[in-house]
Amino acid sequence: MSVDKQTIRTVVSKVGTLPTLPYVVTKLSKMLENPLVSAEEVNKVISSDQALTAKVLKLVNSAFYGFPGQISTVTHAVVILGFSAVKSIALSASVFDMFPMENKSLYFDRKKFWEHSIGCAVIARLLARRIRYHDEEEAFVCGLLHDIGKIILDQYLHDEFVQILQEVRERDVTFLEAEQVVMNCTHARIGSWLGEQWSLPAQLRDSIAHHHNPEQSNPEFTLSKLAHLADAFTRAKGIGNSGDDLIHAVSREAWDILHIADKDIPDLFDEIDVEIEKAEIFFTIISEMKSSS
Amino acid sequence: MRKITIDKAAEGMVLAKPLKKADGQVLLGEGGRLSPRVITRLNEWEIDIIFVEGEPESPDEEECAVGMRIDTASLEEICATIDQRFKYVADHIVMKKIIRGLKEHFLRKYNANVSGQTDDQDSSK
Ligand SMILES: [Fe+2]
Ligand SMILES: [Fe+2]
Repeated sequence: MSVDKQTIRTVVSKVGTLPTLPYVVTKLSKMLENPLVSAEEVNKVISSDQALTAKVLKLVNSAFYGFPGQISTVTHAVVILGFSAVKSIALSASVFDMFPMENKSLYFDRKKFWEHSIGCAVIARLLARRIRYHDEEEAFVCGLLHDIGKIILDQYLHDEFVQILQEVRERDVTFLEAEQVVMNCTHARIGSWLGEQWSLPAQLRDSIAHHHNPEQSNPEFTLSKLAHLADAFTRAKGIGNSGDDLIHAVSREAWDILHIADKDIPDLFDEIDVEIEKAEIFFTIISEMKSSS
Repeated sequence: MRKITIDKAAEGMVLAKPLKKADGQVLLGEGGRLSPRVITRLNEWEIDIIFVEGEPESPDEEECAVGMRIDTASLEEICATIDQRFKYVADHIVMKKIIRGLKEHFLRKYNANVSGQTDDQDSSK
């Protein structure tokens, strides 16, 4: 534990300044704490950022949210989808812009990384619905951000990152094992630290920190288990790539929240295909972002 | 094996997978060598991606049988990819269920895909 603290301190000092969440997203998070906030107020905040407004409207009008082409304003979106959903969508719409798409490493493709993250987000949301979790959109954001620590590594601790990827390829181990060998710290730890900097809600930070060991997260928190399962299913389906293509053993605690009979597992994978198809807009956004090639 | 877009196709490359038209018709078998004539016609056959021998030069060129590319993979390749992915956890009690469910899912997709193709051929006749 203390070793880990020491390592993270070293990492933090090497990273220096991190990208910050857009002001609008931070403001929205603060507003969510007030249950009496109005759709009009949310509209005012989002509309102050033209580019973000355009993206949010594009997303809410996709098949993924169930009202394709029917939502004309942010106010309208809040009324139909709810405040929490619009906040999550705003966060999702901005996160791709916060880190450059150009690849810094030969064996780490940033577009594929985001495909993995989107796959996880879509599946986490589907699983959340399945177990009747109260906030599907929070599950989406959790899937989207679970591996964000890897981007921090690629961006700010590049030498270590290259070593980790080399270890993955040479020894055929998972990224998680490789990073423990190389730097005695994990992307989960780094990601949750970033979550603190961004003042993300406690449960979201916990899910980033424990998506590989959900049994160690707060037992009342479900998100870490959803992220853990979604990660495994995304890998199983081969959607995107986040540095390795091996699958970890799924934690029993996480598996049990699904209450799924063996014979229904193939159907779940079929449902995943349907959801992924509906989420095409996210994959399109990624593929259209400019990269070095 | 490299998975390349046709703009990277060069004379002398050896096919790692047969060249197929959208309707499944084989144009050039596995092991076939790309000639200038074949390369110029790839476009016209509406082929975007081909598989050739050699080491991938970037992650993009790595073949991905599982995932959305079911249309280009055979059932054996799909199962082999799944086994490769799960190789360290194949004896785990939960993972066994997932592997079984996943293979069943791909089998269904594969069969639907195959029957879809024959349907297309039937209707064109
Ligand atoms: Fe991870
Ligand atoms: Fe992941």
